[in-house]
Amino acid sequence: MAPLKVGLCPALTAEVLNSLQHAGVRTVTEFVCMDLELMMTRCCVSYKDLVAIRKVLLVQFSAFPVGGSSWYKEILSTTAILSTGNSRLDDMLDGGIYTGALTELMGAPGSGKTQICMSVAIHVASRLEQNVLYVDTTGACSGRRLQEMLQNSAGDKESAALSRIGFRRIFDPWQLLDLLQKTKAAISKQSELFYSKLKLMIVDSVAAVISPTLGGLQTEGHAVMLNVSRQLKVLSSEHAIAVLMTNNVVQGELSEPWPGLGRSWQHIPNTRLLVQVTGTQDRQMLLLKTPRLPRYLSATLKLSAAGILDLHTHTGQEAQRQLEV
Amino acid sequence: MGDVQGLVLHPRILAAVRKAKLHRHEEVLRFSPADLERLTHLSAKDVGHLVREVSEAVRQRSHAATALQLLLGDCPAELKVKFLSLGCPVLDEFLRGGVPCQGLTEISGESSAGKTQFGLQLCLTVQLPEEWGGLNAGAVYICTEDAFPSKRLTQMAQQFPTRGLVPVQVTKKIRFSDQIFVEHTADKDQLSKCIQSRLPILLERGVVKLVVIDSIAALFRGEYESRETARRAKDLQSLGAQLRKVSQKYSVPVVCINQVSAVVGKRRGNGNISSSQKVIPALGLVWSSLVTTRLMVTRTEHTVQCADGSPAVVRSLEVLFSPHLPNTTQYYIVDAQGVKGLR
Amino acid sequence: MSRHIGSYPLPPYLKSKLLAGGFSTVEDLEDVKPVELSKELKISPEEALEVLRVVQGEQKDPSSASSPDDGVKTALDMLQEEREQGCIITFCSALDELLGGGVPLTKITEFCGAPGVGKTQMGMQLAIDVQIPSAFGGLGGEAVYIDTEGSFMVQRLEDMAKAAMEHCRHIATVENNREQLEAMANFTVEHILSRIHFYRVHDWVELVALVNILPEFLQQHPKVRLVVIDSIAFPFRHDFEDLSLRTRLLNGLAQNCIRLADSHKAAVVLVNQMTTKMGHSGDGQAHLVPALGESWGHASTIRVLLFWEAGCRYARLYKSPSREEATVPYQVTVAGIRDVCIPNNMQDLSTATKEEGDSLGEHSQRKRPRVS
Repeated sequence: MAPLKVGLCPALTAEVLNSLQHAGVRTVTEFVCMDLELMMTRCCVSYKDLVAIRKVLLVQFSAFPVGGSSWYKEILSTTAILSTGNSRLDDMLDGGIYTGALTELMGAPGSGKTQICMSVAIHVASRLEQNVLYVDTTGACSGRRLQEMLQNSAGDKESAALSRIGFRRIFDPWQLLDLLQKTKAAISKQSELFYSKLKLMIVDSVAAVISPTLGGLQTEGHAVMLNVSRQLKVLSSEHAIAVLMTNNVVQGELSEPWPGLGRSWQHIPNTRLLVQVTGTQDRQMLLLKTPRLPRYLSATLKLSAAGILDLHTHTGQEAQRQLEV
Repeated sequence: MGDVQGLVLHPRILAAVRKAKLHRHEEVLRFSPADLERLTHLSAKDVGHLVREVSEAVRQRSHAATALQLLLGDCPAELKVKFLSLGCPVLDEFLRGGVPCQGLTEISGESSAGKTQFGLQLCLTVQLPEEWGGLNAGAVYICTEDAFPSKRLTQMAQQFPTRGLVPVQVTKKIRFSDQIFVEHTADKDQLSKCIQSRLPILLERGVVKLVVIDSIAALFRGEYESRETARRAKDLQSLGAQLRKVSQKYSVPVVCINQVSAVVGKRRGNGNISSSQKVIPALGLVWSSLVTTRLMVTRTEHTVQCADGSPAVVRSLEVLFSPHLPNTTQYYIVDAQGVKGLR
Repeated sequence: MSRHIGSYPLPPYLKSKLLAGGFSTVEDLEDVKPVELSKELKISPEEALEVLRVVQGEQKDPSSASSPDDGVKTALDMLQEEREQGCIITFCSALDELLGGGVPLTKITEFCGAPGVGKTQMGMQLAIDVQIPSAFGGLGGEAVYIDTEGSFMVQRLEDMAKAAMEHCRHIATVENNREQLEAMANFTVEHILSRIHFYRVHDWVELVALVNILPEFLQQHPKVRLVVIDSIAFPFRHDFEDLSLRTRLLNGLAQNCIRLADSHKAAVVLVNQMTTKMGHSGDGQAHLVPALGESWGHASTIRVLLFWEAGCRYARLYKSPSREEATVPYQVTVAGIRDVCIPNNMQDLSTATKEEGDSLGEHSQRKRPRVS
């Protein structure tokens, strides 16, 4: 809803703007939606001028369709697939975490979401040598644990890897929005080296920072949540960044696990994985939402000192039966 | 609960709060800052001031001191913890002063283990002056199962001066039986009513400074069906909370006498098991979480000779949990004079 | 791409007025004077001023994250900070091992357990341990103890303080370390007790208010490195008809606590009770779970369960982002929380406890512990 301003097009002078504003037309949308003849009678602007302004506005503010093949070429050139460091998990994600998409991990407290996030961050920073921005909203991430995971896999170049992981502790949804904005601005400006090689953003956990604003009297929490999701989507698609988020689990209608943050949030991530505890160190991952693969694919993971290691994968049907049990 | 309008704030903030119909501190603290912004149409900064002033005003109600001040007694009266003597120096030493005047103290045990004896003895000691370990006031004894053992009380009251704990001039002035108020309540609703309406009248005037409930289990056993555990838990919670509020508001010890259940099969861990391993206090985890000090009395198989030659069963008083006592046991007997610890 | 108005913390009615007036991004508000804005949107001049202040980013919120313009803080910096900040060591080496050195700063650690297992003792012990002088490897800090249950007995604290002091004096004398011996001058029972700030709150209103005020208190007392709330469960377990209010209040408290912990580099320790939950792991049996509901499980960073098993007390690390799940024994003595000297046959017990999986709260007999 951009406001009408002088200079948007040659016919839009200060006089014309004034008379339009008196008539109650302040934004581009309102102008374009209005009936031109009606407008002409209301404010003393000539029909020719109004048509000219409208043409320019439509050109400036409309969206244009793009051909499928050029779109495909663009995706091929801009999308990257970041491996998670665990081949089974990569298979479940059809290669790894995609840039331009939001991937969500959901699980009960203590299920290992933070461990997986830290593990992926370390892998991307040390093996793939890309920068990671880790946003911690629960205070769970610790440098020592990150270092521990590194020592068991890479060994050398430890400090180089750790300096590729940018770290933020945020406890407020407004600060989160602020951070997302500033990150966007920093990437566009390309002023800092860190942002030019930023490929992965991890938010652990989205629920912790947003759920206190939900419920109660205000519907604003909802708006904040959707705002955050929009910012994340824009960041990921316009700047080719992969986003990995974690979420809580609540009881669904049939006592099955559902993602926290309500119905609206369910549509936000492109891929959703459920992490379940099956043993002291064993975890089962279940693919609940995916744009490319069949649902209910599962894999088992083992959490260890080095983060996530490999085990075997089940087929989709077995896993679905398991979920219903 | 204080009034928000009494706070030192910009008139604009006070007006907005009044318009939003938030009158008391509690109402303001119920909402998150974002909710308050929406309700009052104030900016984030103003809401910040409001929350800060309200919180500061409420904080004045809580009592604060450093631990050193607590130890030296250099603190608000509400923070000083007094102890009510049990009437026997051995037992008082065992309990490091006696029954604490804050929180709920529970005495559980099998029937005829001697729980009621403790209750009665405390009703006598509470009437002693403070320098002799009492609280200089009477007691309320609430019976829920059997009739009040008035004969036994009379016997103990008569014999109390002869125990030699307190000089005769002091005990001569006290008419022990007159200051014990007895209530009979048949169910938990009656008890609740008693605690909410009749008890405060006596407590306000300082006439009584001890509440004994004999027993708490009787009210909750048998009245609920086995599937009504949630309702029972809720009722127990609210009763326990009421009793704790009473204890806290008037700084009086509340002693609850409880029965025991047998330990059957696999224990679920919702209580503490005595060293005899056979019984646990009744009423489960919900009640355990409300009790501050838990004592258990048991009969042993030994006997000793008392002062007048007759044999008395040795009983054990065990601390199951307490904020400041280790889990140890003290042996005692019950004779004509009352409860006496054994060295 | 400029920032949308909706992403600023302004009251909703102001936002809708701005959007209706055609101001949807920051750029639209550039060069607009407060007087103009208030006339156009028909809001008061103060409100217009507030809008411009917020949008033009002059918020002086002390707890806001540092902007990327200051340079990005990396994991390496965080590691360095963690190394320097240390943690609260206890006199129980098994517990320190379990927690990876001790109770960590800037995080919320929760201790849950059935009545009588020693939660209050743990809180009191930590309030003393945070004061261990740096010459002994401690933090030399102060503590805030918030009692919601009325189970704090200062005589017990005095006993524990005395024992702690003697323990340190013994170390200093044996090692004949000058620095340590000098530090003992400030580590007497009186000093220890004077550095524990005690608050007694009676209900949730007082607790919420106190936690709101704590940041100010911690700024005035910058040496405070520990806040203990004993217990967080008690004020919320009864008379709460509206469960959603309870959840919101608890969420708010948790947020305030973690913010406090992070900005003042302090450890927040919460004591929680247990409740029975009817079996949904398929066996129909009741187990013990921490109170306050499942959503509360996300609040604490680290969760330790305290329980009885075969006459001994155990601590199990149930949730931790940096340590593996493990169980260690401990005991509560006159001196406080200490290690247990396990005879050989009991060592098999701790592995057996792990194999039983979630056999939490299964406590059998308890022998009369020896008071040493």
